[in-house]
Amino acid sequence: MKKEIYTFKEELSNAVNQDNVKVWLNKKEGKRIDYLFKIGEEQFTDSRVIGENKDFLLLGQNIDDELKEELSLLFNNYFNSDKK
Amino acid sequence: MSKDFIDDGKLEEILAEAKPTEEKIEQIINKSLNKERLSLEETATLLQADKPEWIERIFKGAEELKNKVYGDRIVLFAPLYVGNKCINNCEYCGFKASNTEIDRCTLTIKELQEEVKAMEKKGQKRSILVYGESPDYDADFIAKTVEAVYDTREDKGEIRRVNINAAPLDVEGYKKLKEVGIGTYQIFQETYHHETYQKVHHSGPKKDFEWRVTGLDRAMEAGIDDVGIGVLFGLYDWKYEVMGLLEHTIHLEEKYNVGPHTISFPRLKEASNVSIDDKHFVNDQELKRIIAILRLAVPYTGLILTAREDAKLRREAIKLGVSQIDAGTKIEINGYADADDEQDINREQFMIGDSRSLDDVIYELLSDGYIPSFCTACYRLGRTGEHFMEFAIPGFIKRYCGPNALLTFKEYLEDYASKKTKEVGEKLIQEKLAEIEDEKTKEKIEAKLGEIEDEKRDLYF
Repeated sequence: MKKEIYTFKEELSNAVNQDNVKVWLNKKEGKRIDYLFKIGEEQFTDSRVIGENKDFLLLGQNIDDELKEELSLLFNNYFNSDKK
Repeated sequence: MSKDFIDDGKLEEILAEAKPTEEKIEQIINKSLNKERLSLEETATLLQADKPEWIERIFKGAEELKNKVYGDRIVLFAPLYVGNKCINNCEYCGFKASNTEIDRCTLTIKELQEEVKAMEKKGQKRSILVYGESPDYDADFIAKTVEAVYDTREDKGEIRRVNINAAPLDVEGYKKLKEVGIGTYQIFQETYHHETYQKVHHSGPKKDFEWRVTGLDRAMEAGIDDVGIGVLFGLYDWKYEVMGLLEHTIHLEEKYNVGPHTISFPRLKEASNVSIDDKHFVNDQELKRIIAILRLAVPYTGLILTAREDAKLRREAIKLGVSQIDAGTKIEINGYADADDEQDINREQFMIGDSRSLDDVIYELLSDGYIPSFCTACYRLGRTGEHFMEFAIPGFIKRYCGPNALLTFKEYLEDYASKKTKEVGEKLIQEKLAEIEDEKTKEKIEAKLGEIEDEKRDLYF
């Protein structure tokens, strides 16, 4: 999984404008959401769920519907292969 | 495998060589006000600043920093003692193995759930589970109890964050706890002075200084980057112990890029069947100095002061830098579910000094202008570990911590507060809203406060 996460991060970095968007991947640990990595800087806007499966959660800030769809697809490619 | 990183000689030498002057103290306080962690040498200078006017300056600096970083929020929690079986013989502890006068027991899952329900009925949202050191309390047992706490809900009540205070584990053990979503894993070294450590820990696994001091290294290696450290002040020289806490912080920062989430500083107290030399006991003024210097030394680390201390001292300590306190605390096994309010020293690890109810503590905090917070948002949105360093970004507290404190406090007012607390609390929320300059932020908070009035729960930014 480490390799997938690494390549997912690479692709995510290319997909977003890091100046006005923040996206971060988390691992679900019981009630806790554990940070794994982030792309971009804090935007101080509400957090939006971009993608989710039983183990991982991708959150983002300043994500419009179009970008959400694009990033969602990317997330599903890596973490929800049955939802491609 | 991590090695013991505490060099007594080095810490003693730095302390001995520190020569405070007014100018040096001013420079150090200014560095701290810029939210930079202090070095061992700088901290030693503050520790050796014994003149009354210097101490006063340090107190003022600590108050200013506290306001800058934490604002007017105080995080509230309550401890829950799960079991007091213990195979260690620590001279200062009522739970030591050789104490045959204490009632030994471990909560069953059903009893644990009753305790949790009793806490939830009072409005608690954050708890720390406390365990003695016993083969009965292994990682599997602790994980099972954490899951039971998270699964227990009473009406609108729920515990949203479970921290742990237990013996050091191996890496595999910590991994099991990570999987069930614990908050902070707390291990107190008690004393960083090797000779004293050996003197007061007579037998049991806790006798091994290195195993304990590297306990949080193993937690980090297992992926738990949210850890708490602490000292039991009164065992050895308080100035040395502050140096030990800072050395531990620096070790974790250098090795894992993240320091401790919290520091605790309990003082020795009366306990069942315990008699201990009072040579190093810490008086109130010294405790206030410890708090102020720690506040300045580690600007972003939460400082916890428990109900061991009395209400008056806790009130003063909050001003100087404490960011988290427990309230409505019961430290007897089954203490929350039992209706009896009297403390029984044969069922407790020590006597507590502040036995007021959660509502009474909240009322006092409100009277002093503080907003009680039950917030758990960072830990629910992945704002932890390395990411938590964004806390340093200007605006983080204003946009997240302040509003989230208001939201969780509003829940408390709606569901649990007494009439007088509700009146004062609602007024304070309005005052805090009026202070918010950014209209958009204010509107968003007002909208969420409205949702809470409409029975929605667990809202956060």
